Amino acid sequence: MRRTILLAASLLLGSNLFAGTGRVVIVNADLPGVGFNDASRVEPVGGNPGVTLGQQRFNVYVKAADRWSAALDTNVDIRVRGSWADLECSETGAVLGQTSVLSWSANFPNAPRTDIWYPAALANKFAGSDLTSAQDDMFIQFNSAIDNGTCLGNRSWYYGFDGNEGNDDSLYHVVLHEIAHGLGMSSRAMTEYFQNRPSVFDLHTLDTTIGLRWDQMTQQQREVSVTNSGHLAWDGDNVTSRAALFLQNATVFTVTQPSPVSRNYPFGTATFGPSVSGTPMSGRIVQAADDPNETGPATTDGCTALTNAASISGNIALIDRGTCSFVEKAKNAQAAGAVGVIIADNRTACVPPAMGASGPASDVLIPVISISQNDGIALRAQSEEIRGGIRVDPSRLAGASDQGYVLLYAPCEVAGGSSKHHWDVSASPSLLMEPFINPDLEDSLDLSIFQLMDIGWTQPAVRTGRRFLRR
Amino acid sequence: MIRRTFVVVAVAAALMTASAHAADSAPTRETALPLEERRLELRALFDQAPGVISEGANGITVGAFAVNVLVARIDADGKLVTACVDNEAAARRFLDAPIEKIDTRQAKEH
Repeated sequence: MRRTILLAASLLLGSNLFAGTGRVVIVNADLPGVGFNDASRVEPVGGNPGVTLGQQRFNVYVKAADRWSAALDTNVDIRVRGSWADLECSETGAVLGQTSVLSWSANFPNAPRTDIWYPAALANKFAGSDLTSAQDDMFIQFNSAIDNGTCLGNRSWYYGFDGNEGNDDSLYHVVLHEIAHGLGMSSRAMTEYFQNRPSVFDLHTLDTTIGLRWDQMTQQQREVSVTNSGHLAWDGDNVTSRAALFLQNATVFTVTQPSPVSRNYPFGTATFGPSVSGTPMSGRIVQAADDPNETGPATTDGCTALTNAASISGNIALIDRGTCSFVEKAKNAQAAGAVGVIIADNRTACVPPAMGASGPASDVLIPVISISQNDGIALRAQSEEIRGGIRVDPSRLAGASDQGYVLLYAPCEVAGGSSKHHWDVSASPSLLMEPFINPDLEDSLDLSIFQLMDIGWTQPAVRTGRRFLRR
Repeated sequence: MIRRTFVVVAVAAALMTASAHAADSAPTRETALPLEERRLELRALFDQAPGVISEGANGITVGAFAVNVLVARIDADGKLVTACVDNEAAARRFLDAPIEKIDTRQAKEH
């Protein structure tokens, strides 16, 4: 049923029969012989018919541009200055590309609100004319060095449209993503407003902790809000009303007793073991104990055979992170009869760790999750029996707040300050405008098109059946 | 100093190059510039000076400031992990962080 609705929505968005005269236009800004103009011969790939590297690159830009053209209604061309350059890269890390809105306008003719910055393309749509005809609306540049075999191992850009990128990076989805930034999923500035004017994106950026939107906050409040992970949300009606069409129900980790710790807890998942959403677990949560030895000097890290197997059997093992791998801990708990594993972080971090496998893990058959260090301390401090587990909550959406607002990305460490101009990574299935380009993306503009509608974009008009009959 | 100047000039050149519409920009065979002369460093991507472009009957228009930069790392499992960041510090933290710290995805089920 859900797929049917999604398909119908995709077809609706794919229709371009009644769009305005404007379209997304790619402007080739490359010098002869490089980037779009690279004449190196290549074989057509994944539906991309180009026979030179430059042609294939340009075809990808154009296909992404056409996708957005079909979804948006404007009478003014949206000019995307496209380019390629050799950007910073190494064997293990690289800059893949950049996007910039080339100008922002306020108080232009037909502006919906005064003293608000609008990105060039959206300002032009409202004004009905090109306010900055001397320049393009956005600039999108990608790293051509990725194709030289000098960056990121032997990876390269994948120029096909069929999703068969393997270990490579699909340029098509990345261009779709970057154009969305240029259309308005960005701000003129982050927390410190230029000329004290917010950007249109900020009008729907809501901090659910203090109940204020960004345009209602002081700069100091915004600086706190930008890292308020799990509490920064989008309150636009177009997104909120359609969230359930695109997001599945959330999987939650809930402690049900004792009352001092009864609540839902944020948790991280493992790349090994069964899916926690497909393998619900519940029962007593019991601190695992093991012998101190050279491999694992602590008695709570589960790095050797558990010594309280009788208590663990049939229950959920609570184990501290550290000393040995996540997989070893899971295997020791499984051997003791645990039905699931909770690994408590051993360092201060606001986000529980995502857990990878550092060795063979196919024989881990019980679900494994992680919780924060503070939450682990709180659970261990309880003298009464602790019960809880993982379940699918039909009242909540994966990637949405308790109030039903879709969450924005507000990381509190490592990539801190990355951007609130993305959906939170807890969204499931993956969305186009998450900060990570996930391999399971389909050719969908998902909630992203509705976010653009919340800031003022419109979709092509859909004529009634009667009008169709007249044709 | 010379390198930084060159980088700024290169960025400016990339932004200022005369444009052409898609339809009239057929790829041509030319010799590419040597890699080392064209590589842009991360800092240059964020070195954009904002300023007022115009102010009048059409309102006020200002230049670019914020950029979104997509960075990538190879994680401990050999997978490509990307992050879209909007400032140099965040980009540098992502690129330089210990590899086990970069995957901040949580509670994601597929």
